[in-house]
Amino acid sequence: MPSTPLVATVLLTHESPEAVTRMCAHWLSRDPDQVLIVAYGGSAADFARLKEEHTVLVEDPELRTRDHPRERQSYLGVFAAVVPVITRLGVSHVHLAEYDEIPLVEGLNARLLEVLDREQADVAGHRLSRVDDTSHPHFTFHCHDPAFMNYWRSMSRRDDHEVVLSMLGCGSFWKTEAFVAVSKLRPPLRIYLELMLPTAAHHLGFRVRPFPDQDRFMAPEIPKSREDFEPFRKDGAWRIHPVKGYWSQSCSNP
Amino acid sequence: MRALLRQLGVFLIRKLGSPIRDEVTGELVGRALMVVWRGRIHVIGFTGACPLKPMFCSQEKIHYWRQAVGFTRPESPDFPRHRSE
Repeated sequence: MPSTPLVATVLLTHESPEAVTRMCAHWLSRDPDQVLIVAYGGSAADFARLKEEHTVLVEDPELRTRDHPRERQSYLGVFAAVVPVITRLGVSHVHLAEYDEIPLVEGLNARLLEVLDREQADVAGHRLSRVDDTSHPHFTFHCHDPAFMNYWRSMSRRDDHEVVLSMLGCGSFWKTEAFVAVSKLRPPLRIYLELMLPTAAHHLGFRVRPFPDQDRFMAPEIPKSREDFEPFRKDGAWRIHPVKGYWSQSCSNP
Repeated sequence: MRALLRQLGVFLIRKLGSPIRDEVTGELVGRALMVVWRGRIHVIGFTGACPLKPMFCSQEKIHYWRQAVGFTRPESPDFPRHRSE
């Protein structure tokens, strides 16, 4: 592990190569010292046209869902594809971002590192909450299958095997050790990524903490547009999500 | 059409739904229609953002004939690291 943190931002996208180039240029303009890894969920033909230095094609059908919670979309294929790259590059931290997440400030990674350090955490995520025995619909849906709770009981290193956490996959920030450990898991059933990622990290013994002040800027049920950038930035936002189609349009830097 | 129906549902629940308070803090966390059907309480159209955790409410005087079920919110996860270094 290097003494100076080296952050890899994993940009998960299926957009055109031109949009990917615009997106990567913007991310690098905000934080030149980071490594960008494009995790591509589009077609193999478009993937072949990508010009970025670090790219991986994710062919896992569990990523390519339409109704993500009902089909229990998984990011384990993304993790598995990315891990060889971050291992080779000696990355210390991983920021898992989606194409519709847009950084609004310079030095984003320094802020994310500061949160992780302040919280003494291994993983930080948005909308993190404990959901076992609650009305959370993803929990109530998954626990209908006994294999779901049995899986956590079988793999947990903790005393309490019944804890289930939920967080957004988008915008989560990981120590590489935790990211790699989760990537090695092969649950016997498909688990929606918003439950799988934080709960797996927790039961592997990692400390998972929230980004409480930033959640409102990342709420997936509230679509945003470029008109929101400046008000959000003034309100303290580091990133904004979801902004659909932003990189597909010809645009100036936000 | 689906979005319109959803907006209509949310509007009705905001007007007609029962207020749901956190039984621990007393804070209003949202509204929902509460329907009891076949021995289950159905929470319909909850307008809040947090997951709800059901709990039996405490009572000032003892009542053998009536108990109330309310809701609270789970605590924010704050578990220590649990790995051998």
